[in-house]
Amino acid sequence: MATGGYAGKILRLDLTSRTSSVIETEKYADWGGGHGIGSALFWDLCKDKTVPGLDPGNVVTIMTSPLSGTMVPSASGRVEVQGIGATSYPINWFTRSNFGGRFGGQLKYAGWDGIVLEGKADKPVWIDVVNDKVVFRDAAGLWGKDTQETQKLIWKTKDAEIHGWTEVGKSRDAGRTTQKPAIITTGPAGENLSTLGCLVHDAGNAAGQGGFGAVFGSKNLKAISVVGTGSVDVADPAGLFAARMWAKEEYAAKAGQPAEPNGPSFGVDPAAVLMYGKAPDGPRGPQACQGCINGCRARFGDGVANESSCQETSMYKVFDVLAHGVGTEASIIATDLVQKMGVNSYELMQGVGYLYALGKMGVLGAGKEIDTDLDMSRVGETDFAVDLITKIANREGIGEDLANGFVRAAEKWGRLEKDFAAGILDFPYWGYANHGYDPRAEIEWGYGSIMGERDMNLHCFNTNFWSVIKHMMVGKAMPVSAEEYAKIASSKMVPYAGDTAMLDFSTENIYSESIAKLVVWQGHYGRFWKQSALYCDFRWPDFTNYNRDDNVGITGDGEPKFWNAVTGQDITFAKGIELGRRIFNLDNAIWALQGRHRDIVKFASYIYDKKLETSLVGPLYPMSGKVAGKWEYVNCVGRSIDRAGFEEFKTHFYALEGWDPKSGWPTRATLEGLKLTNVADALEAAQKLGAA
Amino acid sequence: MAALQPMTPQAAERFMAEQPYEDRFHVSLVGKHGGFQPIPVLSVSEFMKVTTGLDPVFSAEALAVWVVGRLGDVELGEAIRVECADLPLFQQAPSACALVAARLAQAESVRSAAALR
Repeated sequence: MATGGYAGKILRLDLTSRTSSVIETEKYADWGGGHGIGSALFWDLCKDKTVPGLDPGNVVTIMTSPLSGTMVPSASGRVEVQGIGATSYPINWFTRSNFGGRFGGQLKYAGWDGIVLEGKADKPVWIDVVNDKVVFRDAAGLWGKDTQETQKLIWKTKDAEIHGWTEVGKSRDAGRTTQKPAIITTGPAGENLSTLGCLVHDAGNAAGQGGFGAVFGSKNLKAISVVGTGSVDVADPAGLFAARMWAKEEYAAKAGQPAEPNGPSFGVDPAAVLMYGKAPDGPRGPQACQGCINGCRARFGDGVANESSCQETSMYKVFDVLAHGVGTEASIIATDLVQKMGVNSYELMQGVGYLYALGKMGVLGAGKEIDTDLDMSRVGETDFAVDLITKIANREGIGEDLANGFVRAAEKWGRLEKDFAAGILDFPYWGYANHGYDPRAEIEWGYGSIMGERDMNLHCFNTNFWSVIKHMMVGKAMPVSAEEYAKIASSKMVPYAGDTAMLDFSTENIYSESIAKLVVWQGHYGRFWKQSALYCDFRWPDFTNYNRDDNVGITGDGEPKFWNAVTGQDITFAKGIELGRRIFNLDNAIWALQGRHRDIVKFASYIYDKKLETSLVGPLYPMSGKVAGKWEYVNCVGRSIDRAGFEEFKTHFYALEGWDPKSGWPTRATLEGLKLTNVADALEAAQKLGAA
Repeated sequence: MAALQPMTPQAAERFMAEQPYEDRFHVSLVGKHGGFQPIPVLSVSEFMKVTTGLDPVFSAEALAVWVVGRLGDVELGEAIRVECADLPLFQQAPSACALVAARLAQAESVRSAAALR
């Protein structure tokens, strides 16, 4: 039943039998939405959780939240994708990805809170969802098309069928819309089972990490198209409107107020995040996910690389400038191409650096140890980018190895340990590329990733790094001292509120219980508020907000205020964190079944054996911390992770979670305390239950 | 900016030579929320390309170490250290780049003169 932000139904699709059925959302509503519901569905529906990501037995969930399709700022446009991924090394972990745009809104307007994918179609199909009508359609004409061609062809098909109008009304909520269907599709990379395969929606919204494009490909699923003419039932529309106005009045910049440099947070100045060496020519307009207050994307007059944002716009810039001395069209065309072919730009960016190193070392090239016709003398040129991306997407030549991921390629070439040791294969955790926030400096990012299952991509505390470094780079004083930041941020971190040592990134503190609390909190906040309620990582949390005299951000007050207005519930911020703990426990139970054990939770060797020198990242990596008992923004460059110290951290981490410190597995007591007795039973049966 | 003594043709060639990958220097892009992106630099000409075409950060001290240890230019290394000594960390790059650019122009001039002989 549609109520309190929920559409009330989850669409269950069996690709093998080409049938659909309905799961009542109510059965899973105590998981909140998004990731929480996705994990619970996976737990119930995936019979063998140890299969690889490309196995037909894999179960994929695509979930919205109660906030999706509403006017909650920077929360209504995200969608969570889960299942066993294809990327991680050495085990394909149950993992997640997330994309923005308008897919989530359309799915809700069509009457669905999410989609479950099971089985494998015998031939390529696409799914056509118009409100409650679901059709499995032949994708022979789409297979092999790039992500943009695919969407255009589906739009053309739908336009021809409905003449531009969808579902001419029978009742108020089965009305009509001029919206084009929202489509999530895999590209050629995913079709060819490249683990770099992404899912792409519209021009540049992608579930990039995890290899879910390849998972779609393995299921012979090309795309899902959805359009709806319904609406979202909001429990307290006036309360929601008032909350939005409150947030604007209290936390947004006032007209004429100078923009203070900050990291990704609620109060930061809205702007497209474009990092090309040369900005695209011609007119451009802003583009935002549904309901967002920011607009971190842009569309361009020539349509090239539309909606690309942040890292993907910087993916090829380094080599472009090395080749040309200035940024050229090469970077823009490379970015456009990864969107069209559906290739993960993060892995590709670090991967190009790795190939470049091997080329310069005389290891890779025509007639070399790694024999390839990839012309390494053309790195930085457009033709090199096109050749490499096409080879990976189509598994041609060296692309046959690289399509399995750069870490697996290095392993096949017999270079894995050697190149990890040299630090040229910069994939520090679970075979995922370094995000740019090196674990040796920004420990919460590294620890969060290795205690999770992927490059975590949570900017919770990284925001402060950006704030500090941006101020330093322009010679401005920080609006808050390191001590004030630690006080403000820690005051919001229930249930550990007040422990300022959680924000002490000095080397002496990085294996402490307080840092373990930080990582635990970040994981629980992420699992519920960001990945289940689906508040956007680029705006939430908001610890320090420089639009206010007291510099105190909206986090802690804002998240539950919007959630409660939409759902009609009365949960606290702390309750959300506790829900995140429950979800994280379920995820860890799944990982335990898949083979996770404390002994394999470790970084690549260079993170321990090579210091992060100033010669690698520059003079300063500032984070809050203490020096001789005094708070300051400390320099986190110049250190490596100590193996024994990291083991101490893990022991603290497992203790805080209530898990067995010897195995790292959840215990019965902890799981039963979270009403997960069935999960404890399953772990016990598999001999993967942590000792009490 | 410190005036640098003239270079010999041999010193100029060593200064401009491409270094093995293992002996590279890095400058680093600090992208807008994209994190640090290290850029491998194998030669002075690459250094000038990326510092002119982009706005990367780097450690002036690390540059001085590279210039002395790999390019054999003790005088330039010392000049970088002196020039940047009193500057805030993120304001050292323009001064260091100006010194390297001047030295590169000098080295190219020495090479051109040698070629004419």
